Amino acid sequence: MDTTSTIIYKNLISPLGFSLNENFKSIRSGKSGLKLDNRRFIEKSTYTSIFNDIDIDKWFLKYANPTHFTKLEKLSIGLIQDIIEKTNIDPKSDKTLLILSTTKGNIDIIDTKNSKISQERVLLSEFKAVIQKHFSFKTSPLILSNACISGIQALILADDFIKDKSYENVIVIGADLVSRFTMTGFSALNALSSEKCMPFDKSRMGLNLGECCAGIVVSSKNDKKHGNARILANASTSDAHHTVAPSREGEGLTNAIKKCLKNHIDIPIDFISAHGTATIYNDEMEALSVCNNDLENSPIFSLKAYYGHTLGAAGLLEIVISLKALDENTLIPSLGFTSLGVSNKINVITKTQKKEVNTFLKIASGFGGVNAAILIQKT
Amino acid sequence: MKSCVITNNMIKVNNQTIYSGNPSINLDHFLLEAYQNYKVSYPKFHKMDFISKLGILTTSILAKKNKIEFDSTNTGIIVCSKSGCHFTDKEYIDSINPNNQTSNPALFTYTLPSIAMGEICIKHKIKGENLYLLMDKPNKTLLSNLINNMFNNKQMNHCIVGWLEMQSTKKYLSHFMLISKSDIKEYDFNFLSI
Repeated sequence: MDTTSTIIYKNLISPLGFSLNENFKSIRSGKSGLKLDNRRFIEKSTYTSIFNDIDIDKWFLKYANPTHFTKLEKLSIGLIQDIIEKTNIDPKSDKTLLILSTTKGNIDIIDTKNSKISQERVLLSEFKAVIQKHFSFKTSPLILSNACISGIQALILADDFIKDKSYENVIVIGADLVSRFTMTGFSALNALSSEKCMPFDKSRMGLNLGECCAGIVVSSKNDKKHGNARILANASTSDAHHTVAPSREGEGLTNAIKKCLKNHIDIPIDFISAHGTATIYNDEMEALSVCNNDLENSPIFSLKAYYGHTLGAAGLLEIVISLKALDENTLIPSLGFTSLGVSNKINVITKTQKKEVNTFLKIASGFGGVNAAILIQKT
Repeated sequence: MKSCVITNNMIKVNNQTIYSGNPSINLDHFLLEAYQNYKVSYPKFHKMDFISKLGILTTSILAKKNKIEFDSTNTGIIVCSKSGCHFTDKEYIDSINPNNQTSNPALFTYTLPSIAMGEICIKHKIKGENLYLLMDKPNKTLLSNLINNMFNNKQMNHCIVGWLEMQSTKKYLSHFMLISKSDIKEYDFNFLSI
């Protein structure tokens, strides 16, 4: 029989704040982390949501010496330390697991010259080793890397591990950076917008990149201290169509949502946290998939205009914010949206609204043609 | 036990060596030889990075030699490695140094660890659950658990499981198995790793 699995803690470190509370305050006041990127990694101008590195080092000082760690290591270590302090989870227990969700890890260090940090640390296996060593995690952490659905899948995996009693506590960390590597790549794909992105809007012209570190803890213990929630259902699918472009019919995402909701048809979905990258193709396909599942009236929003696209962290970041929205009984407006620019009419949230909310659906799609859906409810 | 291993310019199917290429020939040439020999017939192959080529070849030969037609929505896939796409990342980094303007979008798409899995799904029309994990070595207990999960909780009837590790053109191992819901109790699978 399945053990009950509960989300017992969540937190977020981003350019909009070094705690979830700070982040939520920023969102409530309509603040965006997006600024014109002046680092000249690419010729075209674009907006990115990035940290001030000095702020990270100031914040990290209370955890360890900033010069010994890469940017991603600092963000991850700081957040894991916070999690351990707030939840009393023992990393040395073999009933504790850490899952890291990332696409490119420490890829920025190819451009930094820090004699204390060897280039070997760019390997994801080394990233994991540094974190494991710092906390003496008994169980070797897992890295989940499945493009933009990584964050959602890492949370699903954590939930599966609690339910089948593999572990009692699973810490999920989602983290990714904006780097010359990713900026040149997305620019070469013509995916970047020269303006702040506009999810689902008729003037949208592409995505912005962003960086953050998000954390969620799933546990077999129902600790009522921090506002709890439960995963009701989930599904992942593959389009089997194209490595970069979503299938026009949205079959993969349509089926992921359908499969996820199959046994929960009667549960009202209070809001949908979309992927909403603001590319022409993603938003069009996503709206189609939502409507294919008769969810055209469910309030829907994208966070990409607040945070940019945070790649392997996106799913987790957006679930953390959505969980906070559940706590606060609030619908969050989809920043960057003015008028609908997709063929299938969806109900985009345009202003903050106090409303009792209990259940949300998070969806996403990613390179490789992968799709994921997860249904989460307040306990 | 339906499996295919490609390593050291050699191919094994269901534990029997079926092809031994010259270990000193270039990986590029070996992969092309194998592609032609087993009539993989998939033009996109030639544009892929090495890691995806390995994954496509291994799963295609696995399918051909075992006369499998993957059953679309009820087939899941789990792919693991230690090094992810680091090999291809290095190629991409070389392409953007020193002049950022020459970045190659086609090459960039292969700088995600899970893209090889995506390519496998596209070629074989696999539409079910999918998972990509990085770990130091293939962990039998963990993988058994994940496979059981695919069958018991995610409504899959078949699961492709692969260890797709590439560290250099001389040091690589691609090991894929097809496990069916009806098999799982009978087989004790063993993943090779480098």
